[in-house]
Amino acid sequence: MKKFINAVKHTPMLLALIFILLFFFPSAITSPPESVSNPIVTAVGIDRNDEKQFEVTLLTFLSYPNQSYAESYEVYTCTGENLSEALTKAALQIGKSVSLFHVHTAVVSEKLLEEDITPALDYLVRVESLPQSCLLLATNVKTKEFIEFIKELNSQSDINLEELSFYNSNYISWEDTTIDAYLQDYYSPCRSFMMSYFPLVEGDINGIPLESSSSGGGGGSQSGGGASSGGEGSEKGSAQSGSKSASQGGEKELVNDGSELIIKDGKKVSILTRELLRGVNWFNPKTIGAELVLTDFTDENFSNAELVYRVNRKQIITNLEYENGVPIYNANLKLYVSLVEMNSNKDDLKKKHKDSYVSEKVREEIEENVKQDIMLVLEKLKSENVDILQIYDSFYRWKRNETKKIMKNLNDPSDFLKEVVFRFNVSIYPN
Amino acid sequence: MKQTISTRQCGIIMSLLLFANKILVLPSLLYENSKADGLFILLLLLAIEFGILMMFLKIKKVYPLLSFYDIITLHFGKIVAKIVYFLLFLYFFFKIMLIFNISYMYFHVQVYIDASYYIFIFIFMLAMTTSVLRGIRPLARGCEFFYLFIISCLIFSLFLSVANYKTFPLFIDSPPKNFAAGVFKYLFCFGDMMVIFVIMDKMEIEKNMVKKMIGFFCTSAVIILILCFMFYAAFGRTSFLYKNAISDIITFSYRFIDLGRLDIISILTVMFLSVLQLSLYCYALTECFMKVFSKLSRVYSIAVFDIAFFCIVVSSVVNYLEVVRIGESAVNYLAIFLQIVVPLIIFFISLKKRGKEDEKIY
Repeated sequence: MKKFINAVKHTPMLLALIFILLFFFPSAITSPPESVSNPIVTAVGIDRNDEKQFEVTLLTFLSYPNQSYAESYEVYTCTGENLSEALTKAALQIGKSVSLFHVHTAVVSEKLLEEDITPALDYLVRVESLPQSCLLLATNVKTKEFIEFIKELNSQSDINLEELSFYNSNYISWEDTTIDAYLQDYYSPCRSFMMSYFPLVEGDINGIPLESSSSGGGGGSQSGGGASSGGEGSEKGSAQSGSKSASQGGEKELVNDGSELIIKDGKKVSILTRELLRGVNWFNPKTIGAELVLTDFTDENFSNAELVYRVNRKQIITNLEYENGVPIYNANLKLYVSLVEMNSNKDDLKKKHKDSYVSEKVREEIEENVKQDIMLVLEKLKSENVDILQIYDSFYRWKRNETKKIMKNLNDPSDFLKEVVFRFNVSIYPN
Repeated sequence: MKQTISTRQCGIIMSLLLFANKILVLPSLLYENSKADGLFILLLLLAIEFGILMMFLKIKKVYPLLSFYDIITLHFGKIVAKIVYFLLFLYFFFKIMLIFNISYMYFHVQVYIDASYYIFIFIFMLAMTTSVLRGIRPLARGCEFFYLFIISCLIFSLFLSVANYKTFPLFIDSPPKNFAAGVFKYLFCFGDMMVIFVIMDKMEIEKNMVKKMIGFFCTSAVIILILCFMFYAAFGRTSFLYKNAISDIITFSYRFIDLGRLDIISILTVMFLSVLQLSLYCYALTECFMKVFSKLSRVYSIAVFDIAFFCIVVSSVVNYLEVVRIGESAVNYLAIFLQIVVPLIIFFISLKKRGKEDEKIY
């Protein structure tokens, strides 16, 4: 004992260690895991109800011991005059304090987009710890209905919202469709953003349907939630929301056709259809794999054929300049294409053309198509006065003095787009 | 026996202190003040810090055995020295409050949101008190032991941040007056060289002292500058929303979501850095206290500090935002005097009086 006391005397850290063990070890051992006191929210929906109250929907993973490997997800919806009230009510409903750390996807309704959504997102990010890296998307129905639909869909088919929006963000959209990207654009001079759009549409429209068998209920458990994709299907029902959502969403199908919403000042301006988005994406180096269809194509080797070319690689070189005070946007677009599909007559098919088949006529037609795509979307953007391509930003960055001069005569940086002359040079190469 | 530390250990102490308050909140605050031009403010403030280091090295060469207190006493008398050291005591106290509150905010958000303030107070106070009582040598060895780990983690974090690179920051986009105001406003986040002034008599002069010290300084300065650049490149216009730069540049991307908690690297780094920085500042504070109240020992000085620290922190008079607000206003005048004016005066006087004073000293 004397030795021990001496040892402690000479090494005060030992005393400190004993102190720490006495005070913190028992509480650390006995305290429940955080997953018991906090639900894991993987998706959040923000909406307004008919009384103009905020309506928050949470897709929540609740951890409790069970004998199967199925993860139990529930959908909770609460309303309030403001978001704080709605989330407080959600905590009361779940019996756990709500935290949004694990949210991967935030959904807003088109109705909410009639007003500026930034204050709501700002509150969730600053106060409720909603990750700014989480994906942001819009839908045409109430977010409650949408999230219930997604929950059911996930339990039936392993298609989950995160993967859908992740795919769009990576391959379809002009930029990452995250909250941060939204805020970046919101605080930019032109304040324009493109948001992923996932409508739920009634009828057989070749969208993503729910299986009719589920409409009898019992889809409370699911295998992936917003986060993962493997696992069991719906095994058992905590059917609180399962049957309800199936009955609501059974007639509707989820449409992911690559269309996006144009947002300006936090509000919806219009929808950019997939066809128009093609025009935007010719500027976008990250989107590859676009198809170019030549219909009624005739040249020395084909007659009235339909040829489908795939863009395997593209190179975009832009050059910004001013000519007599007029901003000129020069873009040199090099497309490396391959012929992937031929719908033609027997004689044409017999010739077994290589996938590198690019005749002079093919070049001309593809060039024409691409230019047409671009002009269509530019007309739309100019008429809507939205600079989603950040053209003003680019000019301001590289030609600041001249741009400032022009801005003296304009009211808003968004107006700058109308002043710009676009010149394109499209070159087609076989891949 | 007087405890001494090697030049290498002193360089490491300086290098670790240079990270204080600069890798978490500062990039965000700078952006709020002057957009991406905040990087130039950082560059200028680091250059000032480098100037102070060069002055320190010169003074150390002239007075290799004297403490900073002795040098001030030699030229201005005891009362001035005590006043300067009392101001340094207050300044270091503020610095400890700042580092503690910023670290608390960081760990609270990144690690354990339910952890009470008391746990953090207890852990940090324990580490500070023990380190101070053990003396500068074990503390310097501790810094030496963790240095490579900390630097490696920081470099690895910067490497990972490349995946989040979005766009080259837009420079020279804020009015020049914001730049000037920013330099003054964020001076309180610097001045870490003052710690090595306070412990200068404990530093042994070795070969290549200047080269070694500059090397350690540059390592930290380059990491801080790259971190700030990557932060602005990743977050652009929303940089002001992110308060934990070193973690945010790694964990931000949704592409990393499935990889788990990558920010464990930065959490560990900040953990070690916070404890070491707080201990070093606390040691410097007790040195000042002992010089002002020369009859009191280190045990008394650390006891006084512990009580004062505990009372202020627990009373919630000071929190993170409050500390930053105080730093941006009142403390900056103190910082200008202590970080710039005092070293500058001592530097010029020591150069001027070198011949005469050398005779006196030796």
